[in-house]
Amino acid sequence: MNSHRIVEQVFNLFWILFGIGICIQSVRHQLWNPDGPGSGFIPFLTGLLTVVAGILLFFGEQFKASEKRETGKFWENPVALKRVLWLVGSLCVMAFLMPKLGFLLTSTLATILMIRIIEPKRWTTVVFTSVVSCLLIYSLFRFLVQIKLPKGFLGF
Amino acid sequence: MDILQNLQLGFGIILTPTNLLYCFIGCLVGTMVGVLPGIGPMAALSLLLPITFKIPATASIIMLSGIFYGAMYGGSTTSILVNIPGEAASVVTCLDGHQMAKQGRAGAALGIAAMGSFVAGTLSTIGLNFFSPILVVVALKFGPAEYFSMMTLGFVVSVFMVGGSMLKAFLMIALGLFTSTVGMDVINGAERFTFGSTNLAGGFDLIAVIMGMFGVSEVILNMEEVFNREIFGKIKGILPTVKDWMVSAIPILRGSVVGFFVGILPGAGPVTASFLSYAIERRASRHPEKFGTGAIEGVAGPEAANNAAVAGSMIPLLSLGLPCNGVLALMMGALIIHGVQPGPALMAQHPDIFWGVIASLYIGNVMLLILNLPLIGIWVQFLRIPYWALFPIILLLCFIGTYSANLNIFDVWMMIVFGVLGYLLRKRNYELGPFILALVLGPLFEQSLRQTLIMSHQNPMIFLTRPISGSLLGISLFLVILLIVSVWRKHKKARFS
Repeated sequence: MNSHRIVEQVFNLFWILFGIGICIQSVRHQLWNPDGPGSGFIPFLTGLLTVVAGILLFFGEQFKASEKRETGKFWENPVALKRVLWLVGSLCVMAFLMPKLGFLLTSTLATILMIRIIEPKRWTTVVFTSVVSCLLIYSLFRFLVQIKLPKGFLGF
Repeated sequence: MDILQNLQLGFGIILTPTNLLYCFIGCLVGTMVGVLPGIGPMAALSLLLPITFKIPATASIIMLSGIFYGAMYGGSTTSILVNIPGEAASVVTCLDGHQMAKQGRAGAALGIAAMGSFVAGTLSTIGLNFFSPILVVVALKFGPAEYFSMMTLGFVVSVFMVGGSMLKAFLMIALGLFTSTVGMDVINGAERFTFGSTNLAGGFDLIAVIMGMFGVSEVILNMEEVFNREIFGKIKGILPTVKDWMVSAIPILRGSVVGFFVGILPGAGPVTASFLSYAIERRASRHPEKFGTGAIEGVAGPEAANNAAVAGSMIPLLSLGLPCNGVLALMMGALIIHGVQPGPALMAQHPDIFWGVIASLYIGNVMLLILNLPLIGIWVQFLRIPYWALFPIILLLCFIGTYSANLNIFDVWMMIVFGVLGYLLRKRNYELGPFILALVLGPLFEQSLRQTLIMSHQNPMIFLTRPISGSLLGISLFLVILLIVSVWRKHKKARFS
């Protein structure tokens, strides 16, 4: 499942199905009306083009000469996949907690988590860097640029 | 004579303390984001967009332009010293620039990159000065049919210019166009593909998509392999020698011309310009074998080209109101927020903005030369920020940039979704440039097509019978045929070999 070729074909199948989905939905939005193209016309065309491109890519990959095929794994290093998943997870947690805990608290916690994911440093270094960088960013954007940032139950 | 008078007006506008300050901030931030890998001009523009709401339109567009061309200057520093492109247009500079640094000639490489950028930036601004008013006259004849054909040409050019699979680029255009249709229909107000979500009624927020696709995906991609950067700290001899100048002068001039005209084309831009310039220099050189081993022409030409392309790409925006890439789309957004509509009427209705921006390009280039040559040591220090500290900061900046546009956490979720999508696409060698182009031009493309067909009582021949539209579609068709023939020849050659 992790080889480049299988991932490529999964992608291509996804494009075909996605394109079909767009076409079906577009028909519901009226393709043509008495004045000309309707709301569904351009989406239908894009869906059709996606299906065509997906099919061409699928068969192109299927019949590609074996020496031209990309070998190796999609995630060569298992640690890489783990890092990516952790990072995306921490971003999701950040987006989820931000409206509840506020920008400053959430971003500090998320930065601590992210630094630990990227390169395990000493906890004191991680916490210090996170607190300082988040405070600086918060002060810069909140007070200097005057951008409204999410406030939590603590009021910041 | 008119042009000179107008330019005088432009200099009168830029040479005020406030506008000079905003120009400087733009150049400074641009150089910074150019130097730092992972955060490009688009992300920086998105971050600073909320600030522009509070300052006058001229000052905001001057600052945003400064970020755009400042990033082109700064990008070369990282390419030369670390062998990691600071931003996409500097990828090709890594090839010879870093080799020069390894041979102890980092100073010469940085010097010629900055000087070349300055010469190209100035020459292309002169070009912008003279071409824009001419194009404005042509643009006044543009109706929806011409806009549709122009954008079609842009899509074809963007497929033509990609380095990888053209089929994948074609798919990216379809996907970008589809993404642009999500939300309210521009003609009749009907909701499409929103699935009842009020957050999607206005469509995907452009900043969220750009931040996700370029900022977040870049960080995720770099996270896979965290490695230590080897930086060439001691930089000597920043001024190129007479011999360096003799070798680089023609490539710089060639790069300026190539970059300027590539920049004008919708769908192309600084990235394409730099690659094209490198290919031309290699072909024109008496010693093509030296390319990739530290040839100074391989730095001078592409660096000149990517800077020249910035001024070139301003022409369609200022004259036609067509943003040819994401950065220009954000600039256009900034102008619209101030009630200024870029297009043929801009020069007549807002000469202060039109000529102020052009004059600011001259001043900005001088500022950047000063920022990039004597102050190179400061930028090298920026490169010493370790990845483990840099990446979370970039993500936080993406977060703030996305959230601050609409103060809506839904946009942040979209940024994450597009970030993951961008990461997967980039890992499978899909180019994101055509996607963003289609996303940016999508609403205008659809509107032009539908308006034209309504005007012509559903007769599609109108696209061919109108001279400008017909010519643009003719060029598009020619390029498509050229594309098919080249792919067919490649297949045939591969089969025989």
